[in-house]
Amino acid sequence: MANRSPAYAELHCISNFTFLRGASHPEELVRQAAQLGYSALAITDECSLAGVVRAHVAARDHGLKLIVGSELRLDDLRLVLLAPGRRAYGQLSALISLARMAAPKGEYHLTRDDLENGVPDCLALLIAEPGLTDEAVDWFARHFDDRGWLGVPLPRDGCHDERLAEAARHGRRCGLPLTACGDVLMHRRGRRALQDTLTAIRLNTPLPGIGAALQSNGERHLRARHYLARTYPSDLLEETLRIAGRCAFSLDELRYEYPKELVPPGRTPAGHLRELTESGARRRWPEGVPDSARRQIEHELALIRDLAYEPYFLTVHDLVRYARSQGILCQGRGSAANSTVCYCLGITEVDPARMSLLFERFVSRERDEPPDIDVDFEHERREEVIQYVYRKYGRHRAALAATVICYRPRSALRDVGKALGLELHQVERLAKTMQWWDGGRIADERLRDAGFDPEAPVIRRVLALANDLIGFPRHLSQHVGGFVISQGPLAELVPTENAAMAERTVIQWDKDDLESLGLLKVDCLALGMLTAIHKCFDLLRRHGGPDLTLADVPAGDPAVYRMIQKADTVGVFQVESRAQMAMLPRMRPENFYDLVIEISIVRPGPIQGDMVHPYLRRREGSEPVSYPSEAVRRVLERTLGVPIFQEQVMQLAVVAAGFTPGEADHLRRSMAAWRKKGGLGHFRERLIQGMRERGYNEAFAEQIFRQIQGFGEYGFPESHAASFALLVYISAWLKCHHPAAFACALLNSQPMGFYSPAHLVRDAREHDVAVRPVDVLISDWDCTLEGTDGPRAALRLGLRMVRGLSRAGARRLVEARNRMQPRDVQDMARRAALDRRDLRALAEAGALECLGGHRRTAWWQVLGVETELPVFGEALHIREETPSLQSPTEGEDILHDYNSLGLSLGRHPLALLREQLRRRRFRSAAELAVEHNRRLVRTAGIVVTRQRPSSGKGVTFLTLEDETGIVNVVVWPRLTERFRREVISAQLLGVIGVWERRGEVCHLVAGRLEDHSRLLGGLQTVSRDFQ
Amino acid sequence: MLWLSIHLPRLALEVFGADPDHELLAIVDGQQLIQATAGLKRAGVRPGMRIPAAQALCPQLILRERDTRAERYRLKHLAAWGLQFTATVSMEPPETILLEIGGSLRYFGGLESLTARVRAGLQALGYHYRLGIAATPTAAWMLSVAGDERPVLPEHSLDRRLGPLPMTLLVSTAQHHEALRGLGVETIADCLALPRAGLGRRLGQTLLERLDRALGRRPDPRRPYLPPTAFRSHIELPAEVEQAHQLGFALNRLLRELCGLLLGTGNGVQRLYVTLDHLRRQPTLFELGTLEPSRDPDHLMSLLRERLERVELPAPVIGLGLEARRLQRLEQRPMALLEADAGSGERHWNTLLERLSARLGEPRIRGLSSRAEHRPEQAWQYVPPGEGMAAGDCLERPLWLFPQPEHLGVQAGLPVWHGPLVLERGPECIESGWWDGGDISRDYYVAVNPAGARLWVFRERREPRRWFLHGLFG
Repeated sequence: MANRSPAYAELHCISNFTFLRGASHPEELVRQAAQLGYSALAITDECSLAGVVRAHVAARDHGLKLIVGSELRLDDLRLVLLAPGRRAYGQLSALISLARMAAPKGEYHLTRDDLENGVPDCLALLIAEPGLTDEAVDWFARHFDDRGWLGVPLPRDGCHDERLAEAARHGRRCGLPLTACGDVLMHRRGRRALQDTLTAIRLNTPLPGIGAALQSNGERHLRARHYLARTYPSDLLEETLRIAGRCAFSLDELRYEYPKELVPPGRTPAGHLRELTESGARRRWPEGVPDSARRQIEHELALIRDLAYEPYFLTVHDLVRYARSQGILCQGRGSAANSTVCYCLGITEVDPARMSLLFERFVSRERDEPPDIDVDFEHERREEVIQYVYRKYGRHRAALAATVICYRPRSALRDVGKALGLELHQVERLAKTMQWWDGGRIADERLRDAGFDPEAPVIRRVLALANDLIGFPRHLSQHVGGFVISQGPLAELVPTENAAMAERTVIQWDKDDLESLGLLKVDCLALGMLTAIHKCFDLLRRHGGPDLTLADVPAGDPAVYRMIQKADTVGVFQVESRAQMAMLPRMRPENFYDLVIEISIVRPGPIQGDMVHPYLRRREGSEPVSYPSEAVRRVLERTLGVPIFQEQVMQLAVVAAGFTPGEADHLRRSMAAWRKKGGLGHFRERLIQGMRERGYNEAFAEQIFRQIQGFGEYGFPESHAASFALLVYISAWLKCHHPAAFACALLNSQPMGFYSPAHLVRDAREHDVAVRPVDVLISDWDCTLEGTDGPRAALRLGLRMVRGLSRAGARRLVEARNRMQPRDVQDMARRAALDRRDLRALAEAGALECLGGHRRTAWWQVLGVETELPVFGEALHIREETPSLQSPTEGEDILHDYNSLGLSLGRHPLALLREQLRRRRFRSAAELAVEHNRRLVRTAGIVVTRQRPSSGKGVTFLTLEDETGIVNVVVWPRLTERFRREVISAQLLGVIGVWERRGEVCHLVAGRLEDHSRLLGGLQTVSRDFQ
Repeated sequence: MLWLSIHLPRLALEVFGADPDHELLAIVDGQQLIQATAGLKRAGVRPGMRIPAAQALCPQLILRERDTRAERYRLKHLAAWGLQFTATVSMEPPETILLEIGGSLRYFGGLESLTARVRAGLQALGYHYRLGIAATPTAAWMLSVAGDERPVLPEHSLDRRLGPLPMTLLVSTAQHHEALRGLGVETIADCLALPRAGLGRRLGQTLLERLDRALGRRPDPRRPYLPPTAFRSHIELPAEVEQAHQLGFALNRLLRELCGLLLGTGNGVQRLYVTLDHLRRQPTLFELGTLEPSRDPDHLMSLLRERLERVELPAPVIGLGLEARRLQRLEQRPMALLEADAGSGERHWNTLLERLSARLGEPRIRGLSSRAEHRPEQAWQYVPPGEGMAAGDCLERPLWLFPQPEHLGVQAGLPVWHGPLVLERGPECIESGWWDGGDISRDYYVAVNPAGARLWVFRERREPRRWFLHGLFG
């Protein structure tokens, strides 16, 4: 049978990168085409090349010939362009870019004009389908004479003979050859239901209502060759091979050329890089470059020269140089960033020597991987750097990498549910069951809880289809900061399109695609902590403190490490999260490298690999440090024999399981994607077998594999941790020695970090920082320091803290006030031209007390301001009595503080309720803090966070706050079910449970919950829930 | 003048015809949950909650989007019902009606006895309600909304009685509400204590006017409600009802409304039309006639119950409607239902249809229309006569489609129907319909048998790949 099947090349096939139309992944199409023995497969997504790199990689693996092309729709015709060579590819890419840039995001616009002139080297199929006019065929024949075909799809729709006859008529008339083509939407017939569902989603109409908009059958898949032989005349099948034969282009031919302007005229890139490195080295080591550093520089420069990576380093250097010239703090991280060259170039501040040269991972000749440098910039100023890139290279040469937004379980369920006609609230309810989604199955009892019958056919269909839909791309978004910059027009390398943000261009490939083709990108990322550090440096300079940069914060300060060891780290970069805080007293970091480990160990990888406790035990000396072999010792010595970093796991794969460096790199990339795509299975076998063969025990191998899975998307390499550790240290140093300036800088950099302003202010006050209220006569927009830096410096809250106050209004207020002190509220409102909204915001915040008396009186005056009467000024100053309004109670004032500022400098609300709570025998957080292990205790507090971590197996974590501190509560799943209502909605929660203390780490294991929210009256408390 | 205000605090729930104490039903307005049944409140669901929170508290809860049209509708019918107590009824949407009862007191034997009748009537209608009685309609409304049912007779001091009521009754916008809150104003009395001019300047004259109206310092005119000439009312059921006799509760409410209207306007009805709605199906219709016009709810209800017993439900009921197209003065003689069509000899299509419908019953007269569907069985539908669209496709389809495809025997690999068939055209592959469990996967052919009959046949694409005859070309 098989040998009687004719040869065939599919020339018209879209993947799911033609969003909501294609019903198969590019990889699935390639695999299927290879299995069917096709001679070639063209991936022709509609006006897009977004899926071709994935197809290219898969085709390489399966030994299938891949043709790059695209389907395009004009008003009255549909055609497929194919790229026979590099030139044609560039034309096609440029045409797609043109069409995409001429339309809003997600759409495209093409005219016949564009096609007549833009793609002289492309081959073209005009799809012969009902409705095609003679005029359109004439036009096509005129412009694509010797490189044009009529593509004939025969989808068994009952019009077989008519379609063939009509195509033949057109062909005879215009001298165009006919070819078979499948107009393929899916790799197998079985995807028909999913394809119908995609149509319903696209039309936003439930399936029962769209009838004829659906495909009438499942013919549009990759059909077996013997089946095609029964469908098509043989000459049409043979023609596909002739066309495929003319296509010789492969994506491997793409070569990336760096912008030339990075190198001054007359210099070579290598010479220029050396020069910059040398002058940097003189700056870093004014007393002369140490021998070890000199050797390292020479080694690295030689390597860079061999791999021709100079332009990459020069590009990054240029960005960093620009940022520095604008006073924007920045820092590089990543494998290449921790090189001595980068240290000399000022890309990073971490002296590799400080790391006792633990890094063997720079760029390696064997591993075929591009260098990796991410540069973090202050989050409020990164845009300036991005604009610089666009200015320097132009939008046609610089663009952001794409991020492919894919269906996740929740969105898949929601869209499929709607398509199958579930009602909106049912869909929402179903999507909510996703919290319990586990490996593609939702437990039946969860469905029943949510009011669904798990046996109902419609529910079964929804679940099965949603499962298929997960991982399908939905749209292209922009990568957070990965730039691609080229020498020539970028659009000839990869199609570009408009991003959602105005004035942004994004390419159609994501970072994995770029990596697959060996194209380099530069990551410009935004980091809030850099903003805060910069602001803190500025504050210190202005208020008589030290003049600092990232490079000269004193290193190795024991006071700083003592503070970190106590987990006194609210506001400190990275180590402020609850999990990190719980780890700090046990890790007790005492030097810089300990910080690198600290921020890497509290991550899914080491946790799932069960590496945390062995490491702690070895560190405490309660378990001997041992190595299964000398080779492993070299890899793991710096972490006491326990693999913690992603790099170590990769190296283990090489030294212990016999992977080649290339395979290990493949493993690294699969790690990042396995959650989305699966496919770690064969690595597992190889790893475990390889390790067994080399005499390692199975448990160790399994542990390593679990850790690989844990890294997943959260892989955190040592080379990144090192740069982050520097920011941990610097922010901790600032908090330790300049708490007022540090708190002030954090407040002025919001939103960022883990804690709310209220929490930051409370922490500052606990560290004896005086915090003063918002006052219209004193406060600036930002929070400020009053007095000189030192123990007496006070923190004045700024107008930015006032909810609902406009930035422009605040600016006018400050200007008017600085010219002349206002007499009263009306005077101020008039001179600063404040509208009622701004005035209300100020009154609500209590910022008018200096002018208007207590809140209610101020409010009366604000309400009386006639904002409509402008110029007449003094004459219209209305005189009227202010009624004697009773001053608000303390409770009301606190309530307003919270509602307006999110915090209060007055007493904590629970201080007012303490008597009542005591009567109910609730104790405060401070009292609990000195309680012994395993005691039964009662406490109550305002719920400030609710978390149910995915790794926590249904455990809910609550944080309660009272006037003396916070209590961390653990609620086991069984109890959560019983006290559902309290867990979800109580604002003031009473907890009776067992106090667990391990060293300085304490938490309360709940046994019973009581909702006492009524005691709070109208107070709106805010909890950060289930993020 | 004395005004009686009837406030229906749970109208938004009650329009869904639910028994509010026994169902887990909540009404949402946008993203806000505005009302919940007692059962839900026991589970901790409160109005004002976000929807996900409510769902988390009670996973079985049923959500319904607020139906303001139905509420208005209900309120109108309640106003009609109110006409039995006074000629002056006024609506105060969304959930209150006002009756001027000063002139009716004597007729009904005093305030006590009148309110007792009102209460009994409202109870029979199945509403939760609060009454408010005062000399001005605004004050009566405030009292009823606040739930203070003690009457404020003209001789009492309105200032004193309204003073303790919350100021929220006075303001309609969130902005004013917030403004007064900020001043520490909690009650109407607090508001009265502020300097009048200053208050007016800050919160606008409407607030002062409203205050004055409530306190009787300014006239408080109301637009009277005008009764309708026909009755049509409808209820969405909160859950599907399978047994006809279970519809009594909801039907009774519709009937009570109708009878209130009849009582108020001095009318009766002789013919009632009942509609039972089903999901994705034509509604079930039936009529009920009486010998004499009537407005006695119990009498009509007993007739309806009897009729309901005989109704066969083709599917569960999701809503029901009651209609009386002609309200007749009770004194008037009933008119002939089918008046003889004397005179005009012209027989229009429409007249014919009407006649046929009247003779055979409307459901028996149907039109045919094509439907956008690939499955031949689903590609057409019945429509009311005169509606629908013609088939627009070029595809060849037989005029006669069998309700059930007929299984064909096979000889020498080819199907047989009165002799072996020759396949003329095809295959046309049709695969569709998986979403409702009726998935088909067939190859269709046009075939001819030895007698020359043109047939539409198909072969299943799935095993056992049998042949079927599906239709005949004319």
